[in-house]
Amino acid sequence: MLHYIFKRTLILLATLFVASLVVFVTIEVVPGDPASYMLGLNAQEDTVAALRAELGLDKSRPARYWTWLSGLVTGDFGTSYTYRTPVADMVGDRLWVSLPLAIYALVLATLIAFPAGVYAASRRGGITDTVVMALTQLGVAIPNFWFAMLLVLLFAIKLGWFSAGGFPGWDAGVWQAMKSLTLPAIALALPQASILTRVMRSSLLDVLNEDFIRTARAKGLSRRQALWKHALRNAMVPVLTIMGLQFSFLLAGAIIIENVFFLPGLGRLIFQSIASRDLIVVESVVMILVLAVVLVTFAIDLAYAWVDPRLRGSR
Amino acid sequence: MSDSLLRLDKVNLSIHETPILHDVSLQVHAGSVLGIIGESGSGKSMTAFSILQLLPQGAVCSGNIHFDGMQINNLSEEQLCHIRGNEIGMVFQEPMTALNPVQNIGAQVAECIALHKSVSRSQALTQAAAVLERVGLPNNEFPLTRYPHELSGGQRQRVVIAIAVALEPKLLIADEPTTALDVTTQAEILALLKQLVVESDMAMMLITHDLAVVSEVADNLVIMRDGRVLDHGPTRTVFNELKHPYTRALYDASSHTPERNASIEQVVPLVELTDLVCEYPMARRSLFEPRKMFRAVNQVSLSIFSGESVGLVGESGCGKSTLAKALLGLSPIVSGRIMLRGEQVHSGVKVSNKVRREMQVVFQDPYSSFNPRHRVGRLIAEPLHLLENQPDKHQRVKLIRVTLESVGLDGEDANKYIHEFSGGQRQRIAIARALIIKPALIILDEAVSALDVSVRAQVLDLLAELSDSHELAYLFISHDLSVVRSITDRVLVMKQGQIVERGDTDSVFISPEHNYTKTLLAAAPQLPQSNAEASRI
Repeated sequence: MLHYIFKRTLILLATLFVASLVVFVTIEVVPGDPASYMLGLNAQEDTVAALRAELGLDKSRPARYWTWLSGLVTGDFGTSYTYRTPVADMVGDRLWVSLPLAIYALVLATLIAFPAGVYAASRRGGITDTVVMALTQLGVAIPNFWFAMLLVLLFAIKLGWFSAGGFPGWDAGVWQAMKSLTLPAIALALPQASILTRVMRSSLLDVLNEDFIRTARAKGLSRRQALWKHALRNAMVPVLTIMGLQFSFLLAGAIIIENVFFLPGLGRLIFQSIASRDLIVVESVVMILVLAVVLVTFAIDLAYAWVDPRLRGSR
Repeated sequence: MSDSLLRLDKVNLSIHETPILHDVSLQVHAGSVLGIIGESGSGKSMTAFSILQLLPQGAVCSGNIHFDGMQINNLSEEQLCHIRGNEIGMVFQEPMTALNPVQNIGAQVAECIALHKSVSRSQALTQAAAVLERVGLPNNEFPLTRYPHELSGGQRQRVVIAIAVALEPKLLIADEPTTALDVTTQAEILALLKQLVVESDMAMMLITHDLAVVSEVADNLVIMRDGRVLDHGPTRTVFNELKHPYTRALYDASSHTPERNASIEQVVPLVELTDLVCEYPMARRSLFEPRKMFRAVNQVSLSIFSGESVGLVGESGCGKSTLAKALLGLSPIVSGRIMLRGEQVHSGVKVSNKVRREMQVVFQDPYSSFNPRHRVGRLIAEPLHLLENQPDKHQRVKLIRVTLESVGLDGEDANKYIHEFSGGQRQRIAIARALIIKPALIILDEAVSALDVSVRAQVLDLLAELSDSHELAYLFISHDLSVVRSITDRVLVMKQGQIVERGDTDSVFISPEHNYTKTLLAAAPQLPQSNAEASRI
């Protein structure tokens, strides 16, 4: 087991290093000089040069990569070209919106998908199964921003239970903050829950056909007991894989939903930064997203080993 | 009879309106062993599942099933759960998949105990340990925390048996319990089952396709075909009289020896292996240690002459399949030499088409070794790309037809898909695929192991006939000693990567010299002599 964790950790570090190189190089080849962009079209040559020197853009590429990388490791992400504030602050604020939103949405999706998937699998071919499958088809097909607008129309405008958008910040109290994240989380969770339900169901059905389920039934376990005690844990590996992918997507891919609900999240930050050539912010946010994805993958890998003893390696 | 423990009375079963069982009646007496024999599709497993009512969706079962003085086929699911595992235990065919891979063996055995008895978890585990000890898995060597993947096939089957006998049921149903195991392991498991039956005065229903296995264990026999009971009676009587024509046919097929007249040219060996060594890397234990290599084939030398049939026997993991792969150029060799007609063939990485033309292979599984989306004509024509002069379209069609006919199929079959054929027909197609480029050697890797005895007899006849007409040599790899004996001229016995004994098939089987060969032969179940057979000859 230790060997397994050690190996996963090495892979994690290697992935991060390669990712940092790729991010840096990619940003370097993107056309557009931040300094001249910031100063506008009519800027003087020497003013631009001075700004470039100030921003450290005149140094060699390896030197700039090293400064950036060593800064990342110590938590110093540099200063935004546009806003002249530390990137760490900007990202930190946004992360406290995006991260809870992603977790909230994933928890909702899981809470919907697990019971629905298990229920559909245990009643395969029945009416419940057919209905659940039809609903998930719908859930995958509906664009989530449109669903988000419907939610706003009903719950914010008609019923007035939630606000239509914006984020009061965590200082306004956990309750208020969570309340403003609820509609976006539901909108994000709908397609994820649909996909997860389908994966859960088909994975369980596969496992229920396995020989060891027959062994369990021959022991005297009822169909339901065999499902809960033997099938569920075996069916978890594909479900965990999808959950890992979904979490990474929710963290960065919520940009449309963030726009619909006017949430100051990472997705909007990265969009604005690209538009204003604030490359250092783009680099940092992308690296943080990479870190999040890699950490989630790491956690999923550990969860695999917890679920399946065959992956723990020999002892 | 009133003293029967289990009685099936005119049991009918249909699944999605397809009839499976027709008026099956049989009984098992307390403390006795009933053998149920049948080929695939005979309904023998479904009979067992009907007893426990563990039937697939859409199954409709009628008739009477009495167990221990009580009709059980109309019980509620809850009442049946009480009987399953408690009064009737069941052992399945596939030990590799019959256990939950994510639970340790202690938990899986204890679960059955805790389910039927009001005991604490720790008491259940203590009892589980005792049961595992009883089935030959001592706790100091196999602690309860072992997972199924850490055990061999035979050990896993012992765990499945432990689950089945944990509560000392009155009846044990064993569905092909040894089919997936090696001969020596098979002998051990059969001995264990016999011992458990005697020790706890348990009745057993042993379901198998292997007449020899059942003859050693069963008191009474039932012979099934197409969902019907054709013949039944005490084992001795059934074997002695061979009353029913199907019983006789099964008996003959099981001991079938094909006639072979191939002439062997012992001048230059067709294939000659000298000191062949094959290795493959083992799983890494630590990140910084170099990978250890596992020597699967160790200094093996052998030669095969044109028209000769050579047997290679050994248990799983002995290296026989690795040897076959090396011979075909599918796996790298570490050292040694492979010569074909006196020319070295295996020097570089890639084997030339010329060599590939001479050697073809037929694998074990007739179901998964074909692409289901190609027509048979295309499947068997695949090796033709190895030829230097590619046949034109017309020649191709003709070649496909001739080859299909030579393995006893119809030329029209070229337009069908593989799922339209039975297991035996598929193996004929596999042989046709090997034959189409007229090789000199066909490697048969467990090629008849998955077939029913009657189909196996036909395929063996076909192989014998083809070796006569095509001057084919065979390397016949199998764990089934009786088959090897019936079709080979010479035999090699392999153990842990080495050839431990070699010689003429008859002399090796009659007077084995190496201890391992003796063990193998002793473990192989023997078909009893039949009086009916003796009188006929």
